[in-house]
Amino acid sequence: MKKLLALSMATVVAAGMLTGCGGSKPSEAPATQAPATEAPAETKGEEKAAETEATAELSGELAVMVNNAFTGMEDPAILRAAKAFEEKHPGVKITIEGLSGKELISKFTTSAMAGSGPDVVALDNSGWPIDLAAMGLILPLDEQIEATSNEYLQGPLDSGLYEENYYSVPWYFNNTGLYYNKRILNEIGKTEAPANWEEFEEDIRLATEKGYAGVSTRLDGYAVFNMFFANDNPVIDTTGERPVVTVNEDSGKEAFNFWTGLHTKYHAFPEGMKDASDWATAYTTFVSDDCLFFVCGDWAYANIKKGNPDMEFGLAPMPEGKVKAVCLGGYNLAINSNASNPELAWAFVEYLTSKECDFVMTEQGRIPGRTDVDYAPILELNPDYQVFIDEAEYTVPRPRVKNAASVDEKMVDAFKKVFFDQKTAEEALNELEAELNDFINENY
Amino acid sequence: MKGKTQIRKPDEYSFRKNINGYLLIAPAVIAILLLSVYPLLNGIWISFLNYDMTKAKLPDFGTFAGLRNYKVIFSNSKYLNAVSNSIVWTLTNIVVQLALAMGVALVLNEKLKGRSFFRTVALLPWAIPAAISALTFSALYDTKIGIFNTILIKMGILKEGYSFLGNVSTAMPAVIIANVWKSTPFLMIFILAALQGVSYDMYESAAIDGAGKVKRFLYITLPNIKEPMAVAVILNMISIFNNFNAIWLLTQGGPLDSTEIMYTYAYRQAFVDHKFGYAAATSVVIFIVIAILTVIYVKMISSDRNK
Amino acid sequence: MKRTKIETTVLYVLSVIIALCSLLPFLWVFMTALKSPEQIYDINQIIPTYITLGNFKQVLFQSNFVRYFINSAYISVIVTMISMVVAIMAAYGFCRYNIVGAEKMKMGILFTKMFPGVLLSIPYYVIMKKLGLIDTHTGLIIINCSFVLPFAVWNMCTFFLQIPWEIEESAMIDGCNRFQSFIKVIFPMAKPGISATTLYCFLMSWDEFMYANTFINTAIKKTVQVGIRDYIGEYSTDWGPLMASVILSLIPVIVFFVFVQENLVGGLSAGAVKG
Repeated sequence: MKKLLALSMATVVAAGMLTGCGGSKPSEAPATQAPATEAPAETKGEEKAAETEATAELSGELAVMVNNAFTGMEDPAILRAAKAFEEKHPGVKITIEGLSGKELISKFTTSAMAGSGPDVVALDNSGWPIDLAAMGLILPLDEQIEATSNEYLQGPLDSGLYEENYYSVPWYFNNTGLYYNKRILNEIGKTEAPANWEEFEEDIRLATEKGYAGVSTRLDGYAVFNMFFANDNPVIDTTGERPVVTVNEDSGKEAFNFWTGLHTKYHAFPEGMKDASDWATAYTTFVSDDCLFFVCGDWAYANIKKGNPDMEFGLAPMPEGKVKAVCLGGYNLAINSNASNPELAWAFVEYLTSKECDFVMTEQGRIPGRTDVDYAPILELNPDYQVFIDEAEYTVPRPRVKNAASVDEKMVDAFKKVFFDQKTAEEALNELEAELNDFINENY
Repeated sequence: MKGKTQIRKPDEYSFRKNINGYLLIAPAVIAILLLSVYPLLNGIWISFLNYDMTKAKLPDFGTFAGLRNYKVIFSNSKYLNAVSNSIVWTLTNIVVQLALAMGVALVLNEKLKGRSFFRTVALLPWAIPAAISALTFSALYDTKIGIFNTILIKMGILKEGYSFLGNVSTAMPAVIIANVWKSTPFLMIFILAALQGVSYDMYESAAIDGAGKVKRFLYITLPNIKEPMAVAVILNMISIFNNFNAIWLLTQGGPLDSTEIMYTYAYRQAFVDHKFGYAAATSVVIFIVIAILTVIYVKMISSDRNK
Repeated sequence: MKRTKIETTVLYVLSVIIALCSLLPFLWVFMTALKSPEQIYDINQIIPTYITLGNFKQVLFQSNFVRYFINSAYISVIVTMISMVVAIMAAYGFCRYNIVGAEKMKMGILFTKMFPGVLLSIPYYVIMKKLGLIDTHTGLIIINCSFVLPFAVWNMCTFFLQIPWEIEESAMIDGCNRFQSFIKVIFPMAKPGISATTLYCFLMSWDEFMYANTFINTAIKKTVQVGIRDYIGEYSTDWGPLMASVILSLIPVIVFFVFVQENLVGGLSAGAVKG
């Protein structure tokens, strides 16, 4: 009896939940997307109201989730910025939560799919905004972007473009540079870092002849896309109606052959590169002072200095292939579709990406994603960062396809097949093309 | 003999006579059902739907898909690779862990000075959170500064550093070793607790009968601890099969899918590709596989008990 | 049964080997915790030549660690208490009464743990939201209970089954009622099993990361496992404080271990009647 009762109770409750709030079919699914599709109309009115009433009437609570590069230190600048915002708008209370990138995206996805989550979220511009836009979990911001006086950089802004709407605004961006070991460079009789692929290959040949490793990086989309972009190949062309895989065109073949050739011809990549499971630890192959080049973003600089204070190294722009191009990295800011007060959320996003808040990023040497940035504080911190600032002009976002992380994995695996001597470059590239075509068919 | 406790008559199954029993199990059963049934049913239900979240705006999103998700995953070679990796991962883990746990438990069950110290130390790996043991092992396996490479180079077995986690042939053994280190104590402590159920009288009379150590282990110890040990093995097997962190935090299923198990595959489907339908279908398969194994196993134990 | 000298020596050697295998990875954690930032990155300082307590000071006095620690302790203790009481009740009910479909029910309980957990986090979130338990410790306690309970019930069942029914019967003939006979007879005999299972419950909720990370948003409500990861940054990892906080987070677990392993001795070896 008791058991029957318990069972039936449980079933009733469970059934209630299924119909009431299920992630199951009709009841819920449209509910989560509803805000996304209605949003433009909604925000239009609100935006205008906000414009006319200036910034006086904002009030309410706002939850913000960012990557912990901004919260993990003493007296985080972002908290100071939030405090200043609260002082300007006495009715507003902001809470900032910091999580590492991997945890951030799964937590946001989970909570937003359950119809909740933080109002404002920082998203890696490697494709997260596009995925979440396609899932209907973040709001389009076209009206707001048009109205704001913030001048966002086009490349980073484009990384949030999905079906002709912008779903995020650039917060900060980064790109890769070429770190080089000065001692080894001198040893092979060079004084300057290579400017193009021919010089790059020659330097690597000379270094490997002397028993050094040629070049290290982390095997990840950020590095592998660079190879194709620099040879004027977009990997997947997203300019047309349907994405087209271009990876196996001549320019792609040339790029892939060049980079995998560094392994087949010279064994240029150190064994330790296979260990690098994240960007934070990738530098360890470089600091052991026996590798000529290292391809990485700005954050490696401090790590290398700490890792081997005696080693002399320099930083140069990425060697040029057919064109000047580097892969874009960094974070954008977006607004949750479930945000209770999108108007307030946008006001904070606009504020955090405005000139007023540049110090949040420049204090750490990160580069704000706007055109009118005063780079002096960054250069004061580290003059070598000029390299990254100069590269800003030609950063290219990854192909704007849904589930881009999956493309990253496929690219890296193709490279690894050659690196692990399992396949020839040609075979690996053919397989990659086939996999990417399957991917497009599955997703579009 | 051991475990023969059901000496009750069939008519005692009457509800009135057993009302206290029902009252006793009610809180656990209700709590578990209330909190688990909805998520579980939800997961199973999604596996029959078109649930590619990045197509949430298309009209067929959330509609009934029949067995389509299952068909798709079963025709995917990466999934089949994950299935075979899952089998290797689970079996190797359970066999090695059981052998080690049994050995360690037998040693630590002996009366020795400092036994409590040794026991505590032997349990410690279990206490290390998954994230930290992953960080620790990736440092130990490191090509440049890892202790394994340092030792192997000093011994002259390797000429230069080798990436254990980064190479296809060694990644799976490397993650298995890390997991064996971390989860053997779980089995060990339950075997140790079970060993306490074996009375010394039995050993002594066996010793008088002239039974050697091996015989005593085979004919007294093993039959007596079989049941608790079996349960510990089932529970351990479920958690090994579903151990996501042990692999994800070290290799994320790589390199080249050599450590991709069904769970990491399901996770990838859900949180990388946003194909929640496929992920749910994979999960249901995992669920069925473990359930079948468990039912067979439990049947085996209980038929043994009823002999 | 007397052991020979050789046997004793072999046992000691084996014990030491076991201890070394367990401790080796720990040594690395411990040494890293005692290193200054320069040493951590220095290849020549794999074994530090000098040590610092700065990491421990930073964790204890300049972070929320103590707060996280209290949160975790609170959650884990409550979860352990609730689950043990409920699990012992249920296991006793299953083993000592004739419940219709007991085996099937037990199996059903176990089935709930066979579905990969990450995928359940979304429906769990929905439930927690409905109950208004997002960002609360109560919510975490409920979730943790639901995932330790199935294993705890199963474990306790096997240990109760090990205890012969006759012992309990004879106690009842001596005038004890069922509850008294449970406390006086069953409990002491099942002590090793209860200890092992208690340890299991405590450890599972102390180590739980995924749900704590998903359901807690406010910084001061975080648990130790989530808090520790503050030091694992997007672009760099703060090894020293990270490892120091790991060491500190292990203290209650080690204390618990010492306590539990003493209770592991007992049961039938204490000389009770065998069935």
